[in-house]
Amino acid sequence: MPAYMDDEDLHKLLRLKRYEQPDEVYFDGFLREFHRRQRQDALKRSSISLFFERLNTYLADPRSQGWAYAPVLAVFVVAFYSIIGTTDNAPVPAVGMVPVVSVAPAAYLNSGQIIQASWPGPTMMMDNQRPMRFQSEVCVPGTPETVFARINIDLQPEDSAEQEGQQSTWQWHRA
Amino acid sequence: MEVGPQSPGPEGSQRPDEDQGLVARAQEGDTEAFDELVTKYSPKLFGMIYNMTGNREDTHDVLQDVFSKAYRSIKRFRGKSKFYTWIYSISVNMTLNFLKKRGRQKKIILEDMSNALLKDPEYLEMVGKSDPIRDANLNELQQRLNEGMQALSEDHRTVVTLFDIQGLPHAEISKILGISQGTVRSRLFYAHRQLQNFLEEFRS
Repeated sequence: MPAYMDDEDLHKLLRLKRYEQPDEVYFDGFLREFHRRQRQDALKRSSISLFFERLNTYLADPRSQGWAYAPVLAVFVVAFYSIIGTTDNAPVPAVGMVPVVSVAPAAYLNSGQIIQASWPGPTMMMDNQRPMRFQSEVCVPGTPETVFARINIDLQPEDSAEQEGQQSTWQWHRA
Repeated sequence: MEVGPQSPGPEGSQRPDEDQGLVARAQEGDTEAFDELVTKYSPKLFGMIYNMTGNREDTHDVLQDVFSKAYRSIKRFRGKSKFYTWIYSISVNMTLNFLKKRGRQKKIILEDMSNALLKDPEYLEMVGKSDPIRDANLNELQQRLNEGMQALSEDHRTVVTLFDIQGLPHAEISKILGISQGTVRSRLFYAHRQLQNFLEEFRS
């Protein structure tokens, strides 16, 4: 070694430190411990945090965007209700109208994924004798690029023999 | 297992990500694919963290935490950088956080040298004349170098570890640390000067 250590000598000396490594047995044990810690971690974490982590991961997956329609649809039905309420000036017969308290049982959206939706808002009045269709654009959150989709929704009473004043459920699907 | 230099090197930074397949499988939930990534990167990251912390037990714990975090986050990895850049970034950040919490109270115990060292051409060149006194001096020099490394600031020690020991190019270090290449070079320059001065004091 020269009397003065130049950059190259220093670099060579430092490079030798890459050999400061445990042997293969250590790394085998390291992987086993990693598995053990993963299991412990899964047990320790609360079910709520696991739920949110899984939900976050699922929504971040582009192939699971269909699920992102679920909350959007709730807003969507509210919008539909307000449009009907403000723009439909035709006389509405009192007889035959039923309050809709749920939208059920399922919708088939986005490659056949089944989405359960519920009606969280105020009661919506619909003609229980007549199927209805509406169309709108929905915005799908939870994706890097916001996705817009135009969907048609047909609403049909599950049981057309509903009586006035009874609550009704409606079946809807992507047209 | 003899763990030798496996750094990507300057030319490696231009290639497509060789871990893409494993990462994609791991993102699908294939735990064996993630295990392969752990097996591939644990020796490299061990060396990096070890030279930052100077302590084997701490290195073990930090490295476990690094892979746990990577496992939880891998579905959010979008491939904008290479996987090794991503995992190195996690490792550096977690190690620096650990060092901040730990402070400087721990004594360094860097002492493990793999048997692969004995086959290294640069090592053989340094001890080429097989003089026991020379060997002893080299060992002492290494000890002194370890002390010098621990005397560096964390920022300086990080760039020395990534560049000189791990063999990463300036461009990759810049991406991992989120600083400019000029800053990487500047930190390296000052870190080398400090280490040279530290070793000169020892030699004189």
